[in-house]
Amino acid sequence: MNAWESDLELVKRVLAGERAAIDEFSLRMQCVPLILASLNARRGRPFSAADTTDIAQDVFVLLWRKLDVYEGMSTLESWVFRFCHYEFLNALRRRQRARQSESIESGAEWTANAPRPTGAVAYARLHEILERLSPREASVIRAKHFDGLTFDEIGARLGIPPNTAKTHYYRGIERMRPLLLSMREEIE
Amino acid sequence: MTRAHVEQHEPWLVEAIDGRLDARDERRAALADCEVCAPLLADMEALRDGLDDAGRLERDVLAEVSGARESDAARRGAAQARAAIAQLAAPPPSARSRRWLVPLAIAATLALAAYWITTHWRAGEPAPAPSVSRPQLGGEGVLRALTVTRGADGALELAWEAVDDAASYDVELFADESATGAPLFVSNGLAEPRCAVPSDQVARLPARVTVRVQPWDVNPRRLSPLRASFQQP
Repeated sequence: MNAWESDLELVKRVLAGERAAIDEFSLRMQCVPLILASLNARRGRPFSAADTTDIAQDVFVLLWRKLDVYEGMSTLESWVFRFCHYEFLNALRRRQRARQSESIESGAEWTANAPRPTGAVAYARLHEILERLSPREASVIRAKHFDGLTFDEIGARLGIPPNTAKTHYYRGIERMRPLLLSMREEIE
Repeated sequence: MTRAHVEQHEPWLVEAIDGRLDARDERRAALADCEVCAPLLADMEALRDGLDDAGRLERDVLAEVSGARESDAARRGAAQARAAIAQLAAPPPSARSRRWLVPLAIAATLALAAYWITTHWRAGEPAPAPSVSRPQLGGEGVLRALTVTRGADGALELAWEAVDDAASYDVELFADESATGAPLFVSNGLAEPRCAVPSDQVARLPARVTVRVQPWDVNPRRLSPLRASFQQP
């Protein structure tokens, strides 16, 4: 059994309410505050430790609510990373919006030097766009770009021929294009 | 000078998107000169690079986290995770201590239903306006006074009762009543308690839709989420 299959097994046991599985799952979820701390450091620490603790709490709630959609297509940590990143960027956007409205209320002018949340928006939208693809297309694209797998390895993981994996990949990328264009229009 | 598009470009495009043609490859240069393929190639490569960046970030962060498993931060993280999961995994107190109320609740519901039928059915209750569907309540907090109207252009307009202390709202639409699947539509940071769903997005929604609203206060801090289901008008 590979890491993803054993993670899926663990999640099924958690959903069944097995005490030992919940304990093991809790231990694995120590990655949530660590991922958020790392993202915070990479962004120049816009949040205090107390803020990241609050964001972690939001991630735990979200994870628990979505646990039954985990399909074992990536490791638990990789799956959890997406929720952490999503909530982190949401918190960042909310903070930027609040600061913008504060500066508008105080009469301050928006200057070209003020940080715009384009990077955050782009990352968040990329994940949103992936969510709109078929599960198979999204799995192949994630496996290729996020897990760094070849089409042979993706085929082996998903139990499909490598050429079918390629077809899902190109179809998915093609379907992402119009969504990417509308995302660009929003940013501009 | 731009070159004319030929059928031969299509397999090259696939190879270029896949990263098999480097920047100096003649086939890639031909694509970049083709008026049909050039914008497609630029968009696809930007998309591929964006995905590569997102993937690299994920791998780097997870490698860093994996190396910090024995640190003090990891121990604090484990304590927070344990407390949060324990709280989420515990059944609500009411479910443990008030199970005897279930038969009484069923009996009361049946009595109310019988009363409603005798007082309303025969009296001929007027049907709701055709453009507004009446929501059924979900299991989370109740999204009050939800109205759903369809505009002339096919867009849906959702409106609900403002939540006390809410400064903004995030909205997600789901196909499943439990609102646990991937959202079909997301709109964040709405200043007013209403949300427009464009007609191209409406086309992707099933007949029955569950809406989940996440209100935020001015700090901004998350307030209790609210949910309701509705039939598309």
